[in-house]
Amino acid sequence: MEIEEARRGTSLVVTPTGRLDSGSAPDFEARLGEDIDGGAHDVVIDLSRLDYISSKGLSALLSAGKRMKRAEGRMVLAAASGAVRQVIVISGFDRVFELHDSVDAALGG
Amino acid sequence: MTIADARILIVDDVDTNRELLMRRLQRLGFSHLAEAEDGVAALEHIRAHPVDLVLLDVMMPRMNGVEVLEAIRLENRLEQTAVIMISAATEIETVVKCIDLGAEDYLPKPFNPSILRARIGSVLEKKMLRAEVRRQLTRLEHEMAAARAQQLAMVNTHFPPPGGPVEVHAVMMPAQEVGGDLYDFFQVTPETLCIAIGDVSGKGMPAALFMARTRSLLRAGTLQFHALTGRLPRPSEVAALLNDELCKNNEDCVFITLLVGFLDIPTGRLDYVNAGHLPPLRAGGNAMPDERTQADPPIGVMDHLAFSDRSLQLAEGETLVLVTDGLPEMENDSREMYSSARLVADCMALAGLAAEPFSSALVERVKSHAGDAAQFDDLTALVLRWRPPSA
Repeated sequence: MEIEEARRGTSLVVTPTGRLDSGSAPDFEARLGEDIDGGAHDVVIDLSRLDYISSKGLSALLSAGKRMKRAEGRMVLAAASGAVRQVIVISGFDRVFELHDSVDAALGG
Repeated sequence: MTIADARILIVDDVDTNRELLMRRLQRLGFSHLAEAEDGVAALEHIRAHPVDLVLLDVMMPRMNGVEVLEAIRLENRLEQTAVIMISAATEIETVVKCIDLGAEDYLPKPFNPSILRARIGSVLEKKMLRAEVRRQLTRLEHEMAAARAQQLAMVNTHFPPPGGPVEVHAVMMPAQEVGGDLYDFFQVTPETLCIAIGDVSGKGMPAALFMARTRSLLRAGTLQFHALTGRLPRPSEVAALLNDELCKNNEDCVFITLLVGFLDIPTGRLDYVNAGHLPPLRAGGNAMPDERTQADPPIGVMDHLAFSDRSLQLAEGETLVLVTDGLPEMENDSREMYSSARLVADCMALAGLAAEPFSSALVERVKSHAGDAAQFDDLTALVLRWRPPSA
């Protein structure tokens, strides 16, 4: 899995590409962990380039979210579409995370 | 066993060579030594006694070293008995052939004490490590097989006999030895059946342990609640109880999607809670087959979460199908998923069947979609059909 990161003002936009499943979730989680420990306290996860997310992927997001909470920062999700959005909504994770329609909306929020 | 305990057989037709090797090996601390003066005697010894290492000369009368090595290999003894060839520097082609046949190494003549020590040491060490790995693997395989049996014994397979108002049947197939899927059904009162299906995030042993925890809490929590208060818990109360317990010490952020319901047997009304699980499918009634109602978050995700109670009314002869996402997400060799759409269509097609043939046929359809592709995720289906009890 490719993970792109870009600074937008004081925020960090993290964009995973492809599948977030048991194969890629550990790397993704480790990367977010490094970002948070490195001082990124306002993170937007851009899900627009994600094709698939499994329970392990959700678990990685959850774990990063808890870490962010401990660091007293903010981590939100944005731009989920299709199957990924469906998984997040069906499994009730839109009540666990802020879910924005676009990265811009997430940054403005 | 330490390296010094190794049983070593020296095979050479020249007496002085054998004596020299015996002395050197004794000086290196080896005490379980034997010798043979040709290939035939060597093989007889190996067949009759356990031998860890053979130092095998190439040129010998009666049966040469290459033939002995081939026999050891054909008799599948190379795992137990490592072979080091002894050869003159001019025999390098023969040595290469022996290495290809399974010899571990070779010792050039004349013997150099340092090389002798180094080669024997490394071959024996390798052999011991391999044996250790094999032992661990066997132990692990036995343990996993026992764990699988334990886990499969944890889910209820005492399905109610046909002919009653409620038919239940379920199929559970872990992708690995053990899995994180869960289903259960049990009577809480004579008129109430609790049913549940769940899917722990991740797979394998960590998921299986979390599954076992959830299953025990669900049963004990529900039955205890009823015993203490004299009333059925609401499904949301059961979910909250499980959630508070499973959020504790959960640094790894494992969670379980869980649908728990209480079926009122006389009326066919199901009160349930859906914590992040796939919505129930309905076949053979009047309801829309696939109501994509939004679930609450899974169990173990957020502390002190409030869950919402839902309910549905079964029609006479209607079938309720609860599955884990291993079914719709089952992929074939071209990585196409079986899909929710096909799942719904197949459930419609199977409507009217009794619970047992229904669940078996459904799982067959998913398996035939997958073909030869390996099962990637745990897969569970619970099928329930209800009829009003005859007065």
